[in-house]
Amino acid sequence: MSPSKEIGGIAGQILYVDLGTKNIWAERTERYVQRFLGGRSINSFILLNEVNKNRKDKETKIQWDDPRNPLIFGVGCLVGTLMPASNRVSIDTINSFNDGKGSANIGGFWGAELKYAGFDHIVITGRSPTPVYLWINDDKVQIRDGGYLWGKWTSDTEDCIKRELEDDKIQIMSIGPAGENLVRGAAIISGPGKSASGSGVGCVMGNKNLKAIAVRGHGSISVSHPEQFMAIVDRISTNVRKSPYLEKWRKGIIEGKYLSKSPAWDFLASFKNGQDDFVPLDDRFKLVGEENGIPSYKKKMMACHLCPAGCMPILEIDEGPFKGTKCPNYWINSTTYSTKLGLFDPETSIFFHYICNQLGIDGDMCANTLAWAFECFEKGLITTEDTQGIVLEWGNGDAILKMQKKIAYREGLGNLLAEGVKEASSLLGKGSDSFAVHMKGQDTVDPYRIIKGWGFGLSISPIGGKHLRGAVSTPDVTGPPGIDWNPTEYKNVPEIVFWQAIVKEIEDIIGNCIYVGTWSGTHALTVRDYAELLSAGLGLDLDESILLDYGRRGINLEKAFNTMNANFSREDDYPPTRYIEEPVKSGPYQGHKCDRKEWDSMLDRYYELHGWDKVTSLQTRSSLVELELEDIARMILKEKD
Amino acid sequence: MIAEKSDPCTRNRKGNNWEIILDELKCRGCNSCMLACSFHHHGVFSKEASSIQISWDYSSGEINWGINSTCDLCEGEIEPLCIKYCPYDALLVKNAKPL
Repeated sequence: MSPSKEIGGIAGQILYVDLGTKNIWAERTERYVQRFLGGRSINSFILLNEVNKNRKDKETKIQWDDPRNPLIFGVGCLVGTLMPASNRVSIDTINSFNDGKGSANIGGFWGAELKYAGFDHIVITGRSPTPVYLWINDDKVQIRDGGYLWGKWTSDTEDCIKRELEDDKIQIMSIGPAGENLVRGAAIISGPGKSASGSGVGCVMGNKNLKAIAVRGHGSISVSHPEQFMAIVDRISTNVRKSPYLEKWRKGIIEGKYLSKSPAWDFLASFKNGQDDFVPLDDRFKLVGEENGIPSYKKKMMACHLCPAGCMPILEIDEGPFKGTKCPNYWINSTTYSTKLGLFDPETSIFFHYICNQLGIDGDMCANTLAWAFECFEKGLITTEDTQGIVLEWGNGDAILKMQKKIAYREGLGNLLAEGVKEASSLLGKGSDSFAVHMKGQDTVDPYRIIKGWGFGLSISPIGGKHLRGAVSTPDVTGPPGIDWNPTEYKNVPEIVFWQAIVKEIEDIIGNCIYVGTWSGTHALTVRDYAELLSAGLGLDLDESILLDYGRRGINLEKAFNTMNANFSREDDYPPTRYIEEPVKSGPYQGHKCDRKEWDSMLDRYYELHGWDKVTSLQTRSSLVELELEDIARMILKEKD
Repeated sequence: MIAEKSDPCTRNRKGNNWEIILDELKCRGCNSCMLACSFHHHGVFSKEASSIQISWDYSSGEINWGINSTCDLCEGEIEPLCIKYCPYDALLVKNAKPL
C-alpha cells in the first residue's frame, strides 16, 4: 500500500539520545510507518536492529545491563488525536530478568505531550556517568543534572522538576529508588500513579543513570482525512457510551469487577504464593467490602488522557497509621498483590500499592517475591535471623511494608529478593525453587490454573508471565466477539489467545487502553474500527485482514528478539511448575491445575497458527517471509534453517 | 437557565449571552474538551490551540479549568464541540445574562 498523502496521526520524528556521548539527534518516523505502523511494533523493530548491530556474530548476546541496551519509548500512532482512550506508551528494552524481549505499557498524559512536542518515539542508548534527567521542550532537548533528584520518590521527583523548570504542565516519567538500586522489577512511574511495570524497564533506566524524562509540547497533531476520522470517532464514542461494561469501569475496577460477591473472585485470585486459587469469603469481604473495604476509601474517579472509562479512583485514608494518604490507582492487580500475601487489611493494601508507585517497583514483582519469602519463612527455610527480626507471617502488614522498602533499597534479605524469585531461589537453595513462581525467569503474580485461556496467555507471553499479551478470561469480557467458549476448558484456547494477542499488538500500535478495547467487555471498539481509524488517521489503505497481519508481524518481532538474545524454546512456554504439579486445593474449582499434556496440544496448535516449528517453537523462514520479515529471518536464522 | 439539549445554541452566540460551565463533580479531567476545541478552531488536535485549559492534581483529583476569550461557542457547529465530545456530560451551556 502507499500513503494517500503525507502520513497523519504521527508527530513525525524519533528522538535519539546517547547518554554516554551526549549526542542528540532525530530521524523521521515515516520510514517505519508503512511497515509497522507505530507504538510497540516500531519499538520492537528498532530494538532488534539496535541490539543486532552490536553483536559480533549470531552467537553473541547483549545483556540487559550493557550500556548499549536501548531503552525505547513509543507513543501509539493515534495518541494525540481525539480517538477515545488513546493515551498509551509502549516501553521496550532488553528484559532485566532474562535478556529477552522487555516491554511495558503505560497510560496517563505523558504520551500525548511527547507527540505535541514533535516526537513519536525516544531511543535512549549509552550510560551517563552521573545521574541526569532528560528535558524535552518541543524541539529543544537537554540532558540536565539529576543529582539532586537521585534518591527521591517518584511524586517528589515530579514536583521538583516542575518547580525547577517553572511549568506545572510538564508531564514526567521517572524512576524511584528501586530503579536507582537496579531492582530487577523496577518500574517507570508517571503522573497519577501510572506504572510501566514488568521487564524491569525502570531497572534499565536506573542502569543508565537516567532519573526522569520531562516533556512539554506546544504543537499539534493532524489526521489525514479529518471528516472521515471524526465521523468514526463519533460512531465509536456512541458505542462506548452504550456499553454496559463501561458503566461498571466508571465506578472503578474494584466496584466494576471485584466486589466481594463477584464471581471473578472464584476463578481469578491467587492465594498465599499460589498455594491455592481460592480466597476465603470472609477475607474477600474484609478487603473489598463496600462498607469498610477498599471502595469505602474512594473520594473521586478520574481519567487518563482522552479516556471515556475513567476507571482511576482517588483514594484517601483519613485516620489511623496511614492517615493523610491520598493516591490515585487501585486495580484488580492490587487485590492480587494482597491475596498473594494473605493481606486483607484494606488500608495496608492501599498503602502497599501507593508505596510501590513511590518507590518505582512493579507491584507484581514485589508481591510475588515477598510471597515466596513468606512461604520460605512458613517452611522454616528463612528465619528471623535472616529478616532482622521481622516475622514473615501471611497477612502481617507491618512486615510486608518493611520488606517492601528493603527490596527497593536492597537492604538485608531485600537484596536477595530484589533479584526476583528465580535468582533468589537459586541462591537460597533448600528446594525453594519448587515454589518460586516465575515465567521465563520473570516473577508472575497471576493465577494460572482455573481459567485456561488466562494461564495459556500468560505462558506464551513473550515478555514472561504478563497477562496483556493474549490472556483471556471469560467470553463476555475478552476474546473475539461472537465466539462462545467455556473458560475452564481447554477447547479452542489456542485460537482465542492467538486472536487476542494479535489484537493487543494492534492496540499497542495505536495506543488505546484495553479497558475501552477488545479486552474489557466494552466491545466498543472492533478490529474493523481500528482499521478505519488508522486509514482515516494515517492516510493508509487498511482493512481488517491487513491490520491483523500487522499484529502478527509485531508478535513475530518479539518472538525473534527472544530467539536472538535469550535462546527461548518450547520449554519456556510451559506454566510454572507449581501450577502443573499442585491442583487448586479448595473452592468451586478445587482440583483444577495446568495439565501438561493439554499444554502440549495447545502449544502445538498455537505454533501451528503462527507457522512456527512445533518441536522447537522457533520461527521458520517461510513464516517470517510470509509477513515480509526477510530481514529478520536473515538476522536470527542460521543459513541451514 | 440551563440550555435545552435540543436548542442548537447558535442564535445568541455572537451576543455572548451564553457561557460554557463545568460540573467539577462529573469531570474526570480527560482533556477531550480541550482537543475538541482545538479541532474546531484549527482542524488539528492541540492543547495549546484550545480555548480551554484543563488539568488536575494527581494526588487529590482537584480540577483546574479555564476557558479564554477565543471561545466562540463553536460558531458554525450544531453544538459546542467541547460539550459534544465530553464523555461524562460535565459541560453545559448556560445563559450568562438575562436576555
